[in-house]
Amino acid sequence: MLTSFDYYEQAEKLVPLLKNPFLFEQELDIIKEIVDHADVIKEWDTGCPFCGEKKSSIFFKKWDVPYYRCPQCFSIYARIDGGELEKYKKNESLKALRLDQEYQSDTGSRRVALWNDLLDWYRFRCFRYLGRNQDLRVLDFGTRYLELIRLLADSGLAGRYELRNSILEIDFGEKVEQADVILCMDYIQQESDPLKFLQEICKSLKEDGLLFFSTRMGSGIDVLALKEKNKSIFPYEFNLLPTPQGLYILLEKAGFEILELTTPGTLDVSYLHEQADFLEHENAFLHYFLKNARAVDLADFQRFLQKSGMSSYAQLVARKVK
Amino acid sequence: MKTKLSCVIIGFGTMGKIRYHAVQRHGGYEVKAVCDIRSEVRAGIPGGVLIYSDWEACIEEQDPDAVIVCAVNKMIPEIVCYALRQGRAVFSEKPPGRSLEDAVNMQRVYDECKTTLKFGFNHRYHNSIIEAKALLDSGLLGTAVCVRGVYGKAGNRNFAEEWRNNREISGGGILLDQGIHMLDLVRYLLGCELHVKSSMVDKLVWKELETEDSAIALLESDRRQIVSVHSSALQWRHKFDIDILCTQGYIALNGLLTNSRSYGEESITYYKKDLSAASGKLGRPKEHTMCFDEDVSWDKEMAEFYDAVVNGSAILHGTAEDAVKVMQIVTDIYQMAERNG
Repeated sequence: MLTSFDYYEQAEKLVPLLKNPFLFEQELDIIKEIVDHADVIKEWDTGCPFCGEKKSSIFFKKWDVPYYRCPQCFSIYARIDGGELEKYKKNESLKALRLDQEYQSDTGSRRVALWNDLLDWYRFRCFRYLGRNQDLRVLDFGTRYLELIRLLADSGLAGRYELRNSILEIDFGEKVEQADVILCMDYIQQESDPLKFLQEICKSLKEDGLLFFSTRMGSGIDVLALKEKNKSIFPYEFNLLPTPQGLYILLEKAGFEILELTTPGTLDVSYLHEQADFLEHENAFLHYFLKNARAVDLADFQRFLQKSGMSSYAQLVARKVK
Repeated sequence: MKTKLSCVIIGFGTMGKIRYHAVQRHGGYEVKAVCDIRSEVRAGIPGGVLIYSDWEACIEEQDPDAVIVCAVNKMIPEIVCYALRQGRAVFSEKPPGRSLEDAVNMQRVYDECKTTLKFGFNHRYHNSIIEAKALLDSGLLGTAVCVRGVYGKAGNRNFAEEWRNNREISGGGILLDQGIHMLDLVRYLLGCELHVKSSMVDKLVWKELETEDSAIALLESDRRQIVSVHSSALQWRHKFDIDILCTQGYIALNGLLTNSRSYGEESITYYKKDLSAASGKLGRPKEHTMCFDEDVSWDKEMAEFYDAVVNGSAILHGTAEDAVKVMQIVTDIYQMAERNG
């Protein structure tokens, strides 16, 4: 099994500060307001969205939304009504903010280095598994950043490109059926029925075609340690937090074979460090470590998390099973 | 249900056992018999197969589709050529004999017989090598211009008595035993031929050996890429490293997963050229590392041989041509070192 990780000493250098942090506070306020006014689900009998296990227990609550943890595959999932989730995705205020030029520009300039890495990863892994990385038929689910789409177009990876289920609502005039590659980055977390979604997209992939997939993980240290105090996890935006076990089960059921699952995330220790005070009574060791460790030890700890598959951001490549 | 490929294994030392287990895992092979000249080894051959001490009788009587040759270097050409002439598909361990002449001879017989011949240049199937080849060929890091390879082991208490260091049986020392893998890999990764420019071959510590314990060679490829290879039996902590310098980046292969795990964790790390330090510190750009915790190289290798024999697919690695080309390089290294005193 492949274990992959990215490592650099100065993670913050790749993620420049926001030019206008207010925009992102505004985004969070809108989401919080949607959550506050959403109907709370009464009955929950569908079980774990990954392995199907019916039993579960509440792991934490955030903004009054319960997050459950599966005792079988240890995945974490929020209990959210499918209808409310659809309304959330179509919320006009949120959409308008995210489509705003300043929001797009600020996000683009923050993430351009990471996106270039992402494109390198696509190119490398396409060549590795398909033997080519140019002029592919690419079907993209949910990308909502114009700059990323521009970079993708410049990369030459896609000879034909279709964007679906995105707030950008751009029609490139190209329909992609039987895609070589499906991109599903940071998308599945907002699906109320991930199995059904994956089974559907599997039909749009040619035999031996590749699925590129990323998600926050319920096995990540910051998710498990910080629970509701984790500033980067909140309901309606991050509802499904699988473990590797959960993802294997889900993708296999949907007709995929996972070729590699890696956790190259780089921000776990930063998230923990920001919230170290919360850990004083929750986890004395982590609290002590975060307060006293040298920068080099924190960097080594992040490296260990990446390498051991314990970072809370995962990327995977899966192949459609013949 | 896989078509059964009947085979016999000639030689049941370390490599014979590894191949036996690999073909069992594959499921498409039927091992009819195992042959070894050593009675103590024959006593340890698993049940369910016939046991021979005479390889010729083994092939003759068992009439297998394929012969898997895991004998000592001296015996390889004779067994391979005999089996080819009998119309068998042949998988043989490396090195392809003791000399270039042996390899050329086997290639000639193979050309005459038109059956299947594959040599066990197993390292090509290691995950780090597969990833490095894909990374190089993807063009992500530009073009490779320079390769440095180091492959070394420590020997052991009985190293001097091992057949590998008996020139009559092996034909050469650490270069022919282990360095040949490194030369094959560089040739494979660069995708072109290598020419020896300079070399030194010596006994630096294991003075009692008949063969060398150290070999260093400088080579140049057809495309003027520069290559250095160091093969050593003085690496008291086992080591396998390849550095590949490219026009737009750098690849480092470190470690190799083996049964003993003594070569450390197998990994490939690559860096993109970043002279403006946008991704890290100057001279220390962002690192991308992949590690591997399982070795499926033996399985992949035997699967390729099976597919070639049963389904008629091409032999991609360890062809007769690969064998001759790499033995030419080994020979040139020995000869140049000898000329240089």
